[in-house]
Amino acid sequence: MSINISGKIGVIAAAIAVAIAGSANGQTINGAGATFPAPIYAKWFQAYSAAHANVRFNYQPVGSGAGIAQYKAGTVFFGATDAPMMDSEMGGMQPTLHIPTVAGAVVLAYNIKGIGAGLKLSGDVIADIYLGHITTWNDPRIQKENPNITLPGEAITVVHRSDGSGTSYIYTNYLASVSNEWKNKVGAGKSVSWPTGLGGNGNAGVAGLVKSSSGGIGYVELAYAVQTKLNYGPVKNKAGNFVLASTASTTAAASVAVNALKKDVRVSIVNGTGANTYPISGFTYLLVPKASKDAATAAVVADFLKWAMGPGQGMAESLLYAALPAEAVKINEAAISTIKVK
Amino acid sequence: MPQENSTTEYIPGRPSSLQGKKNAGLGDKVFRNITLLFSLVVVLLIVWIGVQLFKESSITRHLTGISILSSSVWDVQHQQYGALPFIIGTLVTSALALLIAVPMGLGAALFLTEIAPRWISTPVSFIIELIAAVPSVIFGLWGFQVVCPFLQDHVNPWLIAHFGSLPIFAPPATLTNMLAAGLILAIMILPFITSVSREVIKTVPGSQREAALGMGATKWETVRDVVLKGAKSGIVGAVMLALGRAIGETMAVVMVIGNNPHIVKSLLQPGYTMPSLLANEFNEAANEPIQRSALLEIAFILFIITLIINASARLLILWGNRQATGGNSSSEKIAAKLEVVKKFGFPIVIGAVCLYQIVADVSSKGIGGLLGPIELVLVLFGLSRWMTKVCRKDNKLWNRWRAANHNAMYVLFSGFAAIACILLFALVYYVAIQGFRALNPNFFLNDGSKPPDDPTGGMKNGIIGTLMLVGMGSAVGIPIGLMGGIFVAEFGKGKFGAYIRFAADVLNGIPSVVIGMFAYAAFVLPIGHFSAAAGGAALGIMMIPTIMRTTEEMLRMVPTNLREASLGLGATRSRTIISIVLPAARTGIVTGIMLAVARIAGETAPLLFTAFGNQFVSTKVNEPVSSMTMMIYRFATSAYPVWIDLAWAGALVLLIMVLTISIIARLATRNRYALR
Repeated sequence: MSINISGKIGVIAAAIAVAIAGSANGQTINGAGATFPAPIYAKWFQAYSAAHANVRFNYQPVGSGAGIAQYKAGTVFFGATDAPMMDSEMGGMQPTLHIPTVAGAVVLAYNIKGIGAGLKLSGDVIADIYLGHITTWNDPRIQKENPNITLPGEAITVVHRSDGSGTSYIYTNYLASVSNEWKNKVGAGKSVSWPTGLGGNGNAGVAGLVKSSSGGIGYVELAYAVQTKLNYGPVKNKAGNFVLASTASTTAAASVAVNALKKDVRVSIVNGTGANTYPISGFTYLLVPKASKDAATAAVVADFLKWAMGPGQGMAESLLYAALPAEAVKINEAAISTIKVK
Repeated sequence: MPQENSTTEYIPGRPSSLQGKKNAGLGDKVFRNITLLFSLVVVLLIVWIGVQLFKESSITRHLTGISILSSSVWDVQHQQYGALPFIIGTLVTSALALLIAVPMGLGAALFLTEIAPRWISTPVSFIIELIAAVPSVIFGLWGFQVVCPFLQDHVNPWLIAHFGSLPIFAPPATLTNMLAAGLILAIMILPFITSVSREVIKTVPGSQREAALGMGATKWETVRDVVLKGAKSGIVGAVMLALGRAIGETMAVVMVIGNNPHIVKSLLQPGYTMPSLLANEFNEAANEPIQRSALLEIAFILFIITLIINASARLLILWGNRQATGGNSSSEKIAAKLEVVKKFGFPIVIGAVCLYQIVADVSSKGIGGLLGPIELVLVLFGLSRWMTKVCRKDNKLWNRWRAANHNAMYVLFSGFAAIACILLFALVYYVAIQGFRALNPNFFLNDGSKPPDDPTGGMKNGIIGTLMLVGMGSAVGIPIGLMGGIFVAEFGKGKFGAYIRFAADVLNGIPSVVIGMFAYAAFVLPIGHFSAAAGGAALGIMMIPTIMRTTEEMLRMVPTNLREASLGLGATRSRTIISIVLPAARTGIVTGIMLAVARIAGETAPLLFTAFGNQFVSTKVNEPVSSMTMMIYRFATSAYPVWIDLAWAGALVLLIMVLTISIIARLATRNRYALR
């Protein structure tokens, strides 16, 4: 065989040898799922790895749908989702714990020429925008809620998720709770049949599309709207008050659910009661195996979770997530101690 | 030719090998059968992919039967899976792409073969061929960040103002939409149409051209009546090949089409295609049996469609080559039928559309509406018809009119070739400007695990991942492709060889996203987790047909007298191939390998389901790894300036890598041709 070709094969063989030898130091734990908590998880994993040099978390923010699917398929060690699994979904899979990590708010970020932050929206208006009934920004129903703002006649470009998403799950649960038409026609879930609009991949993809579409509106986790400097406004809650998304108003939503949490951590907190409650909020969960065959990895994950319930919670506020209520932390700590680590 | 001198030294040293002829025959047989086995891998892969997709989509086939093709509701929540919006989206964007790219590509091909002097046609065809080497994720990045905003600001409002009353241009326009997808696809398939048409046009015998010119036809008339007629079926083949590409294209489309699972009338509204649906939903459907099965069924439909299109395109090109040199009988009948459609169908449709637009213009803007673009075009068209009629009466005028036509067509063709070059420059320009601005040492030193507000992030993990994946892909693809190519060129003279060659072409046409889904089912699930190895295997499969076909073509170019000389001196067949033929074709084969490497280095879709991505540098074969393409995709569609910059920097580095490989490879073969 000619020198060139055998030379080439030699190079490849060497490359593979290097690859197999690899860097054997340290342990990489693979996880995948929700984009909603990805900013805080990135921070947590970085901080935890800084203290535990031999541990790395490779977290792929591919959406809750893909996170659950790949966790169930066993292709990743842990999953992450904002949409808890129902009992029917959990049949036939390894015993799994839902660990709520933080709570977050979904805001409606918009990009309207000449309009800054603070556009007020009520549930039925939001639902009708997403149903395709309200198509321009100066629609009388939007104008009525914002008498002090002169809205342009620009067409509304609705932006939604194209992937299976826990953010969509929280958001559509909210829409179904405020609009019967939405509940009957579309329903709530990780991926629904959107009546109208553009699909973007992940929270970042939706923010990107809103940012570059004039007249665009899209739902993203609060941290994404703030990081990408998108405008958002207060949303009318169940008590009839317009409330702006913040850690305080999300905490208010989370604390309403404390009693329900004690029975089952898989609770919905959208459209909750209370004067200062932000209505489009939700917990986000990590999915971890209760009795993994890989006990060593399970031990590291359990230790990380304990850390997340302690110092980790303190980092939530700076990234605009709501720390868990103290009761929820206790429930989690009890659950984490049941993870088989030997 | 130094290598020929060195290879001829082998032979005089072994005259005694004549005695061992029986043994040598056995050796030849073993060698032949080994290469045969490798070449059969191609057939095996097609069957394996088909069977895997068919088997795994059984749930929806039994549940919904054929109605998946006609149902227009895709609702995962309510377990309703209808593929019609995606099928229509795929067909509409592909048709739009052909509508734009065929006249341009054909015009550019005619410019290159019939008009341009050598010193222009050589670099221009070189540039157009380079467009084909640009990774689709870079087209997507450029499309999403540059083309879509440009269309939304300048083109869409104009279209709405002048053609808004036609349902296909009805407002409102969205940033990402079907028009943008069609346009990007058109740019991507342009080089295929141009280069294949060029090859086909070249096969029209010079004598036919000379005959037409000798009878007094202008050069344009010769092109229209002789060259295009002679090359017709070959050109149709080229167009179908391009259609196959457009239908299977994933990453560029997913970034610019808007991902809206409904049937929309307006091109300015978002749509969805089959490959983009697969790219978006397959990873999350792993454990939703029905959704997963529906997606696999769509992949199977895509597989069958591309199979049919590619197969018929190849047949048409073969047929065209024969027809150009010999007679044509059966194609006449089809041509006659097409003629009827051309004569009555097109004028009726176009007339109706024009009439509708004129009525709409007049009713909305009054008499002033008659100054719209469509009316102007109609007036110009009428004027030219009238001129033709008038000029025909006078011989002198008629000749002048013909000359004017000739000149007009030449200007048009040169313009098409120029546009093709300008588009590539625009792409390279943006990637270079934005990439160099964003590129800094951190790009190579750090990995992509940094939060989006930290500007020190990099793509070290992606660069190393890409190198690993390409290395592993090569380890799979090169030996199989090489041995398969040897079989087809040296032993596959009969029908059997033709079948294998055909299979290789068909495998080459299967959309990469379908190969990714196959690799997930075939490698990721049995292993139990995502891995670099699975990604490498997927890329390796994609390399096989390219390497096989170029190896074959290069081996065929080795003159028979070299082989005869070697055989005559008593060398065995296998000895001749290994010591004489392969070294003589070395440069060409290495070129083919480099082009295949350049192609897979830019692949994204199959890696999403196999290599999966990794925020950190990983060099382990059995762990997920990232690639530059996956990182560009993820960063490009985000809203963070830091990440978008990283995507541009990544695109620049990847583009430099891929274009360098392609340019070196092409220059190498160019020198070789010059030598011969």
